[in-house]
Amino acid sequence: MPTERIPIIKMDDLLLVSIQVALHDNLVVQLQDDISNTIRKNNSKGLVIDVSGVEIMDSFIARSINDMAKQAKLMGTETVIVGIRPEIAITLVEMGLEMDAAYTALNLENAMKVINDFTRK
Amino acid sequence: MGNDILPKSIINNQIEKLFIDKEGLTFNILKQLLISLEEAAESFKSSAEIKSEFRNIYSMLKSQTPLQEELIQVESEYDIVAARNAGARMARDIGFGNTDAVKIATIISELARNIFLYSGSGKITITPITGLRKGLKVMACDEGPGIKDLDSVMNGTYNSERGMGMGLRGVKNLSDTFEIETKEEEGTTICIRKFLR
Repeated sequence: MPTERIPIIKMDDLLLVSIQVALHDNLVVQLQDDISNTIRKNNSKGLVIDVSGVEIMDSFIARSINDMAKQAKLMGTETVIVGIRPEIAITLVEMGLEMDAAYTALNLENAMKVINDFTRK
Repeated sequence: MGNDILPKSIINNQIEKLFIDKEGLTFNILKQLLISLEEAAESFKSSAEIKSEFRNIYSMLKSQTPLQEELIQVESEYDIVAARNAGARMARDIGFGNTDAVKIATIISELARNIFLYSGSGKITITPITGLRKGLKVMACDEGPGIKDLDSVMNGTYNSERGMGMGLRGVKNLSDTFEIETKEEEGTTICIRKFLR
């Protein structure tokens, strides 16, 4: 398998991560590293993680994304998770999993509003 | 495009190129062929059109053959993805809606991940349930270390570093029936069922 990488896009003082592939463990660990390093390098104020391309979220993936938000928070960066699919939301609730370290938004537009709110504070 | 002409001619063309004996072609071989073709096509371009075309060919094939049990050996993390994809596919073939198919794929992902993390290797069997109540059965077997304190894992007082507690409880919540047998140093077998609503 070639080393895959999920790209991190910089927009002013925001970072945008769009997950479009089936997440496996190595990819998650790599992404956690990349996000922390990019936040430090760019002095980012907000992190948006788009999961609209994620078809399945098991406890490992949900926890990994929540951990990314926790790491970002420790570095002074708030995270907004965007685009959780309805069937995934139902599944996560039924499993009893929470992603409480991040804000959530239905789409990118709403995510920008959330970020504007907390950067103004 | 006419579904009645296209898929057959495509399949025949491909088969001739592959020098496979047409008579000896089983549904499972064809399905493997289709899946790998689809995966190959996706790495060039992820297109909804490719997906729907493959779905057409696949459903044509399926309508002529009864559903069969699938066995997935779990030895690497890539097998976790393969297992949950196989589960989601079979769930949709059986007639589960999208939400239930996602739940089933999540269950399988969770079980396969436990096998990979705690035992290193094992197997997942996905079986269609026929008869009065249609559904799907998933068995996850490994010969790993077993679960020491099953009660505290299942009632929520225990959470491993990697969070197995949440995973197994989640599987139980998502399933219609849940059975687990575990013995220290011998292994774990988990069997779940999910029925059509």
